[in-house]
Amino acid sequence: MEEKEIIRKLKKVGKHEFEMPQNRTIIKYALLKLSEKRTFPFFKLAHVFAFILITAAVSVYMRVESNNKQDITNDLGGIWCTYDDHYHGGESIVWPPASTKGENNFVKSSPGYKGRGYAVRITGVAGTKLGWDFIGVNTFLSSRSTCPECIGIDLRRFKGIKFKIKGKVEAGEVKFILPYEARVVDKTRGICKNLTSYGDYEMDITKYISSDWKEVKIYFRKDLKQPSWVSREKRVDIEKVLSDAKLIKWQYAKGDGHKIDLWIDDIEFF
Amino acid sequence: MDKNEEKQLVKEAMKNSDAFDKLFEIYYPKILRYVIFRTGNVEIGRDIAAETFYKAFKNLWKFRWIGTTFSAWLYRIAGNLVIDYFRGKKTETMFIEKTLKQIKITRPLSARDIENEIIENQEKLEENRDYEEIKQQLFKLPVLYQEVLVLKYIEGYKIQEICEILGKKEGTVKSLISRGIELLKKLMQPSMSDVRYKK
Repeated sequence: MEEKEIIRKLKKVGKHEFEMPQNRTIIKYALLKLSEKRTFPFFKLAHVFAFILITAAVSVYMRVESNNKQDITNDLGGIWCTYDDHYHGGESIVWPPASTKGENNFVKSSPGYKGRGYAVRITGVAGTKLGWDFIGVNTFLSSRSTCPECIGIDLRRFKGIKFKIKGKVEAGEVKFILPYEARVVDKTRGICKNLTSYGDYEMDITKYISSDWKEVKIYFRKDLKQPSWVSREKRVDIEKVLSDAKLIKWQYAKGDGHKIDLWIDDIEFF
Repeated sequence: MDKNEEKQLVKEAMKNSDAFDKLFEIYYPKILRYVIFRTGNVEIGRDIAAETFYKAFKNLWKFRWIGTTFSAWLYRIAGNLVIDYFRGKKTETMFIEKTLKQIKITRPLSARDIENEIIENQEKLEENRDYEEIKQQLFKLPVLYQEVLVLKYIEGYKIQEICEILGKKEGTVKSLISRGIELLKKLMQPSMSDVRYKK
């Protein structure tokens, strides 16, 4: 083999990427845990440092989106995708376009938060046909959270989620949603089966959306509620939802034909 | 990140966990990649990368900015751990084993998620034909050549950066690279039996 060919092959190997966000999280957590035990000499230097680090160790965090990758996956290896109400007969429009035949048309936009990297952006119109017309964007929390595996991750360790958001909402409401789905496939739709008839834990975040980036901090147990219309048999303990969380959503609804432009970035569980 | 920013962040990491977190997020993926390509094994790479950070943060207070950057220092620790691994010396990978056991109940993710991630990445690596082909011969080279070739061509570092990482002079690094490629070329020549077989 020629020298040039060897170098070409070595450089090509360098393009190989490793996606191990869950291992990264656990190792970071382990290091923080060690700091709690004051194993590291520099942590022993002052009691005040030790206190800061013990506090940090108790509050574990895990990044979902850190705005530096352009592809359709998040830092946990799950994909991003948009959705709309066409399956229910609605006429809402979302960009990047929602999947119609299982394809993923998602793209990230730039610049992200602080003018750096990439952010998740959706634009579109929530129609007027259904009365509850909607569009949205969701991200799966691992590469195995999608259909047909439908395996979620355990979020019970975390207090909540925080993210940066900006955009323009002419009318209607934007909600953050934590869906409750089974580990089985809804064969009629080819997606993981929703167990609450879409009456999932949610929070209205419309008031946070303006032309400047703002941080939204949601405490799972305090801020998220199932809608009042959800029947008793579809009500579920949030710990159960958190124990096997497959995805998170940002949904725009009741827009009555108005436009939305929504940017989301820098997402992490804390 | 430039050297001053890095310096500032390391200083802060001695005092607060946010800076520690930033340093980890910036350098862990790089060190992980490097050790995986040096060992050819995702799980061992994961353990050595973890051990690298454990050692680095344990000894952070000793770190001095004399002729080396923090990132170069991390690569040096990782490189030494890789050498220990190939010598069959038991490194302190007990760190990862021990702590994973300790956080068994409270950990945020299941062991299966973590295990699957390793398996998936190992499978993908083995499907990378270029790496598989190069790896067989690369690992036959003396360690010195392996590390310069991985740093230069796979990790894409400039000569000057490699000098910092390895603590060697420019002339030495250049000669190691050129000699390494030469040796690799020889190893990758088809053997006489292969030639005969092809005929």
